[in-house]
Amino acid sequence: MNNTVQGRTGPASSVSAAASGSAVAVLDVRRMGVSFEDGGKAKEILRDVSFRISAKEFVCIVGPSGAGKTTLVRCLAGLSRPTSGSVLLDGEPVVGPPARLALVAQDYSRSLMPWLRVRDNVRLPLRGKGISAAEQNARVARALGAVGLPGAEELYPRQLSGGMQQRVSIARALAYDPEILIMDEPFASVDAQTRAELEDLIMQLQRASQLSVVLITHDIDESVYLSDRILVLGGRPAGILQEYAIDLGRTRDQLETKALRQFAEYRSEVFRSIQAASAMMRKDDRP
Amino acid sequence: MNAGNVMRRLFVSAWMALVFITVIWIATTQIRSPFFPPLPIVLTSFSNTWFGAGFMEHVVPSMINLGAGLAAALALGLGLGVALASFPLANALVNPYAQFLRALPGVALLPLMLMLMGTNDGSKITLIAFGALWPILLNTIDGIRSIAPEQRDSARAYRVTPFNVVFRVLLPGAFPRITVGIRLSISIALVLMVGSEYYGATHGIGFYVLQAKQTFKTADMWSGVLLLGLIGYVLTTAYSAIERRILRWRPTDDR
Repeated sequence: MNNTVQGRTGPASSVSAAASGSAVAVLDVRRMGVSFEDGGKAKEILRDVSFRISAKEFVCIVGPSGAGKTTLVRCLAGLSRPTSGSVLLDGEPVVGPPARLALVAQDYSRSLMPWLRVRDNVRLPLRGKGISAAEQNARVARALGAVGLPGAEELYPRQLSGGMQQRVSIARALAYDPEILIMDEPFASVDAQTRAELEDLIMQLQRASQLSVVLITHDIDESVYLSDRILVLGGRPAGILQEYAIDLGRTRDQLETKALRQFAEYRSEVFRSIQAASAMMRKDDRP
Repeated sequence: MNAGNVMRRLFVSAWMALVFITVIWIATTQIRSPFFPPLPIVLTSFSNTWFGAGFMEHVVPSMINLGAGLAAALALGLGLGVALASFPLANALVNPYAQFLRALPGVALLPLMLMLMGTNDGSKITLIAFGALWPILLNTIDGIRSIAPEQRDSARAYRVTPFNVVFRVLLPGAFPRITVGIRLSISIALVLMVGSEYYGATHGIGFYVLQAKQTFKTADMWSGVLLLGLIGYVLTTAYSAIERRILRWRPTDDR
């Protein structure tokens, strides 16, 4: 199959990417590297990570656990600064959380405020920013409607199931009206049925809007099912090892799409690539 | 807890109270000690004094001092707590002193306050506020630091404004700890209120109790003690109700 766009993203490819103009790129990550000081010893987590996300694109980043996915998310969301390289949003360097970027974390119980009612959780990011109260309420109601939770405004998060709490988390992101949505393993803590529902929900919402989505996951089926493109993150230090364009059309279905021969092929390619990445990382970890 | 349980508990406590009061009643009327006047006499004194002129003369000033002291301690404790929790360096510098001042019994400063500020209500309120400040301050700092980093991150990622971070994230998130401090502060404030009325005072419940003792009006003294007990009980019970309301968001099993 001819969907491997490029191998390990090296300096050459990122230079060419930067030179080719950034008219459509919403998010542009250029040779980003992250190292931490760990017990007096510098630990390099990410090296030379480069990729671009276009408007209305759905990109999944997959990788074995411990590959630095969370570090990557923090840098994209402006919560951490990369040690080297840069992250650009609409051409502007990201130096703190950007205004038109929303984040959905894995652990909904910790990212929502349990002491705020559902309405106040969704409304919190809108407050004090010159948006009229009526407009805030309208956006909250619209977002809760979009995620299938109308009428949950007065409840506290603990009164909702895990899947419903994650819907609130998604509603909070939607009400914020972002142009890019970063999701860090958003469906990892819900049951399989809920997971499928939420996958379809987020796909629907993305298709119906101008939203670009970057979704981090370790679930290969999920990545193939949702993505326009898959980036495989791995290695020590981690970088983008592979990139796959997933050509399964814009409308997808849990049963039909997953039964396609192409789906199975994409799936096994991504799987092999991740396996290779883990094997490599295990070898590197050996003393 | 279901309704049956509540009824049973009410019944048991009503019984206990009834037995207790009867025992005190009989004992005090039998022993004829000048220190333990008969309960009916204490109760008569209670209603004459506290439902009479004593209310405006003693109860109201005491309550104003207590309320003002507690309010000042709360405002300062929460405000400084948020500030110190936001600046770890400042907190590291201030924390040992705060711990020391917390450990210092507030009444120990009574002579100093009298010297510095005289015997007016301002001096009493300052003493109450000073004593009640530390538990609230230290618990606010601890509470804010116990908020999950994920929650702070999500507030940061969504660029929640500073005002909303303080009032909709930090303070409510820290409240399960803050409330422990507030409970302590209520007790401390009550002690300091009474203590401050023992010296150089001309009114207040504490003053009344001491004066009754010095003029050998033991029934009046007991009526003051009884009132202080009741005030303490009502304050803590009322505060529990407020606390339950604020902590409504928590699952009942870890309250």
